[in-house]
Amino acid sequence: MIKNLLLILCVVLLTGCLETELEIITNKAIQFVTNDNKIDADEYASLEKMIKNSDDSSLDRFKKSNKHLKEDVFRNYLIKYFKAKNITITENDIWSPNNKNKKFNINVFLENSSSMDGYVKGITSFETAIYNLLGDFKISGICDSLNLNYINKQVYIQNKNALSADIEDFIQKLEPSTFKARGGDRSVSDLENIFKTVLNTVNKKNVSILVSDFVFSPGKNVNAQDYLNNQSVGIKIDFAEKLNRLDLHTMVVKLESNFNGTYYDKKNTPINYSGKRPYYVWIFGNRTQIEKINELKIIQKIKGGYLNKLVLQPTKNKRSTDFKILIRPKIGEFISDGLNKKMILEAESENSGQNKQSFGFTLAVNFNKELQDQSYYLNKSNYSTSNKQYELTSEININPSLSAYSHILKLKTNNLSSESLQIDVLGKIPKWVYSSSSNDDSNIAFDLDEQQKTFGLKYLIEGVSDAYYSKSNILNSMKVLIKK
Amino acid sequence: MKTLFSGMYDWFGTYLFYSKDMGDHLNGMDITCTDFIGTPWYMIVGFIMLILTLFIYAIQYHIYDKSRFNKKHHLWIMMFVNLLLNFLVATILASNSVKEGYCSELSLTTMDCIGFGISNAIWSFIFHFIITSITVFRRLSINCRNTTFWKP
Amino acid sequence: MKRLFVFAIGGTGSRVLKSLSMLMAAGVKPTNSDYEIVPIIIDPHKSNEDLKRTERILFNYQAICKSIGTQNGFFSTQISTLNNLVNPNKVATSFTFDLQQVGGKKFKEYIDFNLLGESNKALADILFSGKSINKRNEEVNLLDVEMDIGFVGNPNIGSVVLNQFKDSQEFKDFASIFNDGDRVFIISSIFGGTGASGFPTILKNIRNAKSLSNIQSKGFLQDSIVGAITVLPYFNLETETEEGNKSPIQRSHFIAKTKAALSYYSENLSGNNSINALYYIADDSKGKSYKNDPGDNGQKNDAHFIEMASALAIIDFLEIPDSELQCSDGKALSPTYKEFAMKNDTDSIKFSDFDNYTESKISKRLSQLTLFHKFIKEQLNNSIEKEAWSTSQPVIDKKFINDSFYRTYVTEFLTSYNDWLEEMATNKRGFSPFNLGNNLQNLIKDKTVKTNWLGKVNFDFNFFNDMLAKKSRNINYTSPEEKFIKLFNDATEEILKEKFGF
Repeated sequence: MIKNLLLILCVVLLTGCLETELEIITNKAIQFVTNDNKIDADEYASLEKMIKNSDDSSLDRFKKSNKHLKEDVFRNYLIKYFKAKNITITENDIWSPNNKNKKFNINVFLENSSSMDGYVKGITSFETAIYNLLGDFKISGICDSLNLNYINKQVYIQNKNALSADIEDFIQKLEPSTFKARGGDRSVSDLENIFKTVLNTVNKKNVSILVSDFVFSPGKNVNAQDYLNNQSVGIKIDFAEKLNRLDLHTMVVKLESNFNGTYYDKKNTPINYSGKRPYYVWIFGNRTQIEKINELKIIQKIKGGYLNKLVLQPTKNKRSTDFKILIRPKIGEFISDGLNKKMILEAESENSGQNKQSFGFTLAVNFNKELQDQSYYLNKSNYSTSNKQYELTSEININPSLSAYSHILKLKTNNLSSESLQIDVLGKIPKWVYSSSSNDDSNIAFDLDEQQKTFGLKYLIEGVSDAYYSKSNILNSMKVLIKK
Repeated sequence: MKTLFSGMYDWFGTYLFYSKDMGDHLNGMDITCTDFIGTPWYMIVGFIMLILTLFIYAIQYHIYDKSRFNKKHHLWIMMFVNLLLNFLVATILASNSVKEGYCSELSLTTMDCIGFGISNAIWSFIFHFIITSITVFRRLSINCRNTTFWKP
Repeated sequence: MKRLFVFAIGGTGSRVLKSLSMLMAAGVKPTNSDYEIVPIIIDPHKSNEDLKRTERILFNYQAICKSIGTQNGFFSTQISTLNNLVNPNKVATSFTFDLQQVGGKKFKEYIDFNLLGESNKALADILFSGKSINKRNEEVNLLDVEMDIGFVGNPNIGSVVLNQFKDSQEFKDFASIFNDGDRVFIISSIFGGTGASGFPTILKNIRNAKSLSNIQSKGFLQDSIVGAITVLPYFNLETETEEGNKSPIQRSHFIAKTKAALSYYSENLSGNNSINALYYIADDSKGKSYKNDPGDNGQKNDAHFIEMASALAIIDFLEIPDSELQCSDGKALSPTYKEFAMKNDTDSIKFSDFDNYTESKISKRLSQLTLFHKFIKEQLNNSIEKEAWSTSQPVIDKKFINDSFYRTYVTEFLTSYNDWLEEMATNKRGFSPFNLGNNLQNLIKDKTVKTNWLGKVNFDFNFFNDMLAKKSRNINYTSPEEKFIKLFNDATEEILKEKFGF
């Protein structure tokens, strides 16, 4: 009887005394959240203080070398913790010091060469989509000012700091006549020139959007091939130069609209065409700006939808990828110590069953903040492993307890050895670019295939891609140390 | 201290009585599966085990310390009590911690909890045996100074 | 070490000497002085049981002391034989004075009756008239008594025979070894045969030592401090023998002989200041009747309280400082005469019936020894090799139990001790301070065990074992024998203090 009491006393005392610092902090966080379902600035500051003042080595992961808090690591951990404890709370409910609204200007450039007239005759899905897109940008609150311009040989400023009414005017009143009236040399689309002009406007405070059909017009007496090559090189140089100076990201969105008007083929021969035609919206900005746009899913919400998307990212300053080695599923054996340090220790191959001699492990990776589409990361040809004997499969993460991670990568080999395994996500030109690229658009009136394609698209994209990926095309990199 | 207990229980206990996953959980794998920064159950149970064993030893040898309770079968009775208590402590603490939530990548069962209880009970027996075998401690007792597992 | 030479004369002497040994074994000793006791038993009735018993007891006591010394609480007084002192290397020694030419001889032959002239023969006839019985229980004339059964209550024979003492080797040894500071004590009864005659004879020889030519003494004997106890009648004799004949020794004769002896003493002992301290003790004759058993192995009397009280006289004697017992020229300068008194006159004496000083001297010590014996009798076998005090070094194990130290000396001694207590308890007047057969809690009659704070009496052998374990901690004993005795002394002392309030 007395023994029982003493036992309980001991247990209570000990479990009370032996609460780890981390437990104290997380319990406090839970307390904050149960109060008002969020963590506000004061509460966040008190948690930050507790971490700063603690000497516990297990909290070092949350601290930078100068003892200051590693904001994102801590926030991620908190979100994971709440999820594991079945407390519903999102990232936005936790106060973030980076909440300062970094607004930027959006400069819209609508190419108004004559080839564009077909997109604006009557009411087209082009008009609807662009109108809504611009409207969404305006009301999203991410832009300081929305500036509308026409561009062909030059930039023709239409509306600085456009209001909603102005956007309406910019788009809905588009008719070939207005296009004409609003000016410029509408004859030739010198894409390289257009790019150079638009790129010049892009900086920390300015995002640029270029809308066009992006059809090259070599002209009558020009060798189309040479022309395309030259343009490609020129574009590559322009982009490369810009990349040197800015963390330039390029988003290419392929859309479709009904077209009724004149199509000018590679020899500039006018062809009457009425039907569906692709057009493209290119968005230029730095990482934060493009992230913001992605976050708000503005592109995803385009009226009428889009066909394809591509984002080109600079590979100069590699970003660390948030990933985790899971304890399970695995083939073979390894211990849990060191997993958090991205080390697989005491690894052993499977010694029985159908997977004999194989070794496999699973990574949970967070591509949520990445700029490519989710499906990009599902394509195993977009990955490369330092040891070619590893087989990689990627799938969407459906495990709710790992909600912080978007994809699950499974790696398997038949030849386990101690090594530092590097898994890279590569920047590649997706297949749709090639299938959307035309080499000869002369028969567009009758060729159904041709009608979906854009002349010379391949050269365009390759040029840009070269600028980005010639040195290195590693977008994300993960390193896992395997020790037998 | 933490590594001492971890080493002890992992060396004899894990794989034999309960799974490696349970071992990871008891070592302190936290609920988000980040690292061994959660509750260090090995250390807690280890401390309780040591203190309980010492206490039960002290009751017989120093606090009660009578000639009517100093034979070897009396020691066996105390050892059994110690075994039982430590089994209960370990099993209950382990299953409570499992109920409260654990890293989802681990698979833990009730048998693991019971297995840990058995392992802790065996360790408590070992410690009890050692303490009563070392003359230095026993010597302070009046009636039990020569009471060990084997005699009287 | 100063010595006390104790002359134990006759049956009474042996029995008082036995009581003295029991007291010494319990640890009773004179305060502030350490004496070595040298008993010399004088009794021609060599085969009498009392003598044999006392000798055996002394032998066991000596063996125990030889093994463990005298610093252990119990057995704290050294007892040696005269021969031990004279020939320390001689192994086999005896406590008894070897009376010469006594064995098998008739008194007639001893005095060479047949060689006497007619007138002397007639004188002898008158002096030694009367009848007695021989060892075959046949009636004989006094002159025909075979002396190896003592003097059968005839001090007239005794005084003749015992005079040979001064010529004996024992007396020579005694005289030569007697040092300045040593003392003498003589135990005798006044009603017996040997004692009544022996006492004055020995005393006379001691005081006249200077004039004895063949004695090489250091000159201390004449002025030595001599004490004596005279035991007056305290027991009854059966008036008839088994065959229905009248017993030759009659109680009624006791009184007459006592008177005669006393008047002799008043002239030749106390009257002429030969003795420094003379103790008297007596009791009325309510006592049990003893059988007169002259035969071989006869005269085995139950122990009596008077004998123990007489032994206390010796202790008292040793506590009187030298300065108060000076002699000059063979004469005591300030002789003292003492009697024994009790607080209460009861038929069955307990500790509380003694006066305070006596009680303080003997009650705790005797209780200790009684506890010791009780443990050995009832618990020891259950505890050896199990309890901490037994298994710690030096180990007290089954081997120790089978060794002669425990198996013979201690067991025999303590059994005799227990017998002594039982005999005194059943005797009249009885001495029965203990409930010997009962459990531990009721052991001492007029003391109740203290209760603990819950009101429960918590005293049993488990407590005893606990105390033994407690007392044996951290003590370095040189041998298991020493441990055995000393530990029980310490433990019983503590138990009496804690539980009985001693």
